[in-house]
Amino acid sequence: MADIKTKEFKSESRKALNNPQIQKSLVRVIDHFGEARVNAIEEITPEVWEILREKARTIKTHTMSYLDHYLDLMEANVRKNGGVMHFAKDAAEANAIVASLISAKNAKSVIKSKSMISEEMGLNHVLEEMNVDVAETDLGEYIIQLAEETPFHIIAPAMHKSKEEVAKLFVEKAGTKLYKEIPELAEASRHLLREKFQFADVGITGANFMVAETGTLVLVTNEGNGRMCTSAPKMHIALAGMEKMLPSLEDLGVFLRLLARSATGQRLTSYTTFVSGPKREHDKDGPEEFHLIVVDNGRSKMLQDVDLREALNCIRCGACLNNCPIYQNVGGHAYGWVYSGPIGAVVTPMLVGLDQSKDLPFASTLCGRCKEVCPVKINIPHMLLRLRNKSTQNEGAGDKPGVKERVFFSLWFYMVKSKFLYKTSGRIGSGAQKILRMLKLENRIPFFGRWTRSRDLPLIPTKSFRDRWKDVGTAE
Amino acid sequence: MDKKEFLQHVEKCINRDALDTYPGYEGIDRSLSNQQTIVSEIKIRLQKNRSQILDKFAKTAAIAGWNFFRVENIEQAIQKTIDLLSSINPKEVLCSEEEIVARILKDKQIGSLMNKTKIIFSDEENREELKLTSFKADIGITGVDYAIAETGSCVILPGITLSRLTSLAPPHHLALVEVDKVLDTLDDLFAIRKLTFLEEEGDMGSYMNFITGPSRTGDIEQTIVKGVHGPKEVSLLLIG
Amino acid sequence: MSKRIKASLFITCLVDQLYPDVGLSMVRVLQKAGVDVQFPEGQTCCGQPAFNSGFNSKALDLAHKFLDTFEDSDYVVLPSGSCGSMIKVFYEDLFKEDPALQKRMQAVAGRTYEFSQFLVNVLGVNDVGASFHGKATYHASCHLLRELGATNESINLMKSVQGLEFIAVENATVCCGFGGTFSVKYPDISEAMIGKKLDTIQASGADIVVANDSGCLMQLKGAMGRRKLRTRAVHLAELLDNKVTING
Repeated sequence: MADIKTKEFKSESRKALNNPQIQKSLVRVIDHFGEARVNAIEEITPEVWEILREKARTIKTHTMSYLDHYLDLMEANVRKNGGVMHFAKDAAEANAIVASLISAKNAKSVIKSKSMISEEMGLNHVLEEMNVDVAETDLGEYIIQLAEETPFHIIAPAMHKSKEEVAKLFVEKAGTKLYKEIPELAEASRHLLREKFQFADVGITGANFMVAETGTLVLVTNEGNGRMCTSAPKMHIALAGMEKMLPSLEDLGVFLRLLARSATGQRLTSYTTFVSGPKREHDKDGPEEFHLIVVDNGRSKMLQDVDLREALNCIRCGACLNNCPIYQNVGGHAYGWVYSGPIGAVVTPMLVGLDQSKDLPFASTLCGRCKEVCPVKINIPHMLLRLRNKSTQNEGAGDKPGVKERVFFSLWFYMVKSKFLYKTSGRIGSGAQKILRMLKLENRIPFFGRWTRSRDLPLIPTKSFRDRWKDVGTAE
Repeated sequence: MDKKEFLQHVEKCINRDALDTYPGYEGIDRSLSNQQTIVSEIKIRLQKNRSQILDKFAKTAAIAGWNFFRVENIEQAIQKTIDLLSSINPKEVLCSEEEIVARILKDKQIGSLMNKTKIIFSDEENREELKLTSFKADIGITGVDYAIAETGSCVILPGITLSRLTSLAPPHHLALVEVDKVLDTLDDLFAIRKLTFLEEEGDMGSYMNFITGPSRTGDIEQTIVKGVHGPKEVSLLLIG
Repeated sequence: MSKRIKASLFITCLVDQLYPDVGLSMVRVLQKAGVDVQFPEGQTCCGQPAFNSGFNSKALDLAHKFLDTFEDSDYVVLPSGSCGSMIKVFYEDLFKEDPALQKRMQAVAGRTYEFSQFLVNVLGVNDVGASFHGKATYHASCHLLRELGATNESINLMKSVQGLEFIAVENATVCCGFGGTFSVKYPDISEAMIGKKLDTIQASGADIVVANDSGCLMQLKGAMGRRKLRTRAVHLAELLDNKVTING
């Protein structure tokens, strides 16, 4: 499994806030992705958009309710198509399956198309340890592979890097000359990877969708690297989280319309690739062997909790990241693992454990923007609340919430429960605040200090509304 | 983990009521004859709205980034292809073997005009040679199986006559599209493919690609650059 | 009107304890619109702070208290979108173990309205006859907008205020960064969020920014005070009650 740094959310988010390059990149999240999405919805009309979202939600809800059935059907059809479907309960099992397939082929060189699940698995490290040459071929993934980082964004993994940083990486890690312009860097990556495309033994891809009815895998890319990985090598290994399922071919009409528009604002990405097994005997080219590895890796825990199940409907478009005011400020690395933004704050605790990632569900104002833009209408704030509750109840969490917080809420609770305490607390507070302010100690109180360091506290009035209500209430 | 154990675990986690049995799914359960009806209705609709659909396709293809040209017949298509090839001045042209490609690229006018150009048909090479040629060629020319007006996409089904790499590896791709290949929507395409799937008893071929413009990336500073791994230039000749 | 509309106020803890003037303004605006206003004294807090922090059982207790206090009211009106969504959206969740109670709760929730939605959608009032001479912009509180679906009510009311020049700002619907305990648990992020908000408000040249949620107001006022901005943050009720004057 990939390294988990989710416990460092607070310090990492602070670092990101103080990093000018990251802040500069994040502006583009709004200007570029945000606007492209809005225009794309305008073009298809908001009415049609709502119909598609509702359909998508219905299809996914059904699929998740009978996922066992569809996995079974998928397996039968992959087999019929001449491929092999494997089942992995966790990252370790999935890695072991990939490793054994590669060893059996005696493969030395692997090309990879962007796959979030392989990031979960930490697959590249496993392959490197086997002395297999593994190249990420999506330009963004290639950059972060050179930089030895995790994706900053679900669909734009290297968006936090400036062209100068990329140019420097290319010089240091890929041995190119120093380029200045972005087109030159893209051209350089074309040349660097061409060789690998031609001679690689195995292509590894993710999957955007699986179609149970036909045993088909759907890949959505813009660069063409996904097509390369499924065309040139003799073996194709595809990795898919088990939730990527759709029942029937026609369901793709709904999901393809939603995905690209939500992600990049395109009607469709440049390439939509449908793989139904290995090459047939008469085919001109294509892989001779096709393996699909379906991975659980914690997803069944989400399936089990009816309040969290709908997180499995996610199609990884990134719209919730682009529109999240938290993500817009701290970016992807603060989230400490593979998935970031609002959906990451739900998925990560479920996949790596709530005890490992307690900040994630709490680091949200529950503003609801994610739910509003989600193409499959996932109620993310609702799930964050569910996770917060789980965390206070110690469900799946290793440690309880901070003592200070428990004490605070217990005191608060007694106050608001009792009319008398509630009434007097305001007066006490008001008096106390006046004294503290006089002594210039207001900023020193723990908890309040984190407010007052940048914001004034309201002055608590001596008389509350209920004290003054009679003046107006009886005026007529 | 073996399949049975995996599925049992999934079933346990879903925790369905005992009475909640799989209700079926219309899209999967549809019969061949129902699918035939659906597709024949689509074909009537396409016939009826042909000219609007072609106009729409011209627009969406241009938005998607195709260099879009429209000609009325094969003669004009040959002429346009010659113009296009002259402007690129390729050393090697790799062609797939569909009828439309042969009719145009095997025409003697092309042969005589393009004396510095080597035109290779993919049936002339074995798999390994073809792979190397496709990475070397300056342009790949293919027909298409369908096109989609809604999205400006060409749909290619690699198989006997068409390699996967011809439309992908060279820096330029020319797609030859006859007007009767143009469908209206994504749904039309999936309905037709579904019919093939049912007619072929569950095999619709190993591969299908929608090509919607040139290869592109926005991975550095979200600046769009064309031609990162696939073709930088894509041209589309609509014929008829 | 044959019968006067009776409404119980749920004043919310922040307004009661920190911003009583907002509550008083709301009373006067409602009375002017012909509403018979009541204030059930047993009320305290809706429980949102506990609920948002994961302490659902404590929130449930307060939901019971709310139900007891307001079950007999014709209407419940409150000056806060987030407390409104607690009652109208999230209470239902808290009561899910008890369908009978949940049904009673739904009935009260159906009669509960945030102030601007009550004025516009129940009373049909878009113009309360207030006046304000200056430039005003609106901050859409997240819960009011996205949980309660209030897209235009406040803006319509603002635009009807005589002399008011409405200025739309680009990020009006972006969160201010309050988020209850979020603002002190993650002060760095909260500060960055309010910082961006204030930049655009400042650039807009608005004299006042109007919001309908005491949480947002606390965040806006707190940060504006520290920045010593000329712009003031006010509650819609205060504007409609003619209690707002331009600074300096």
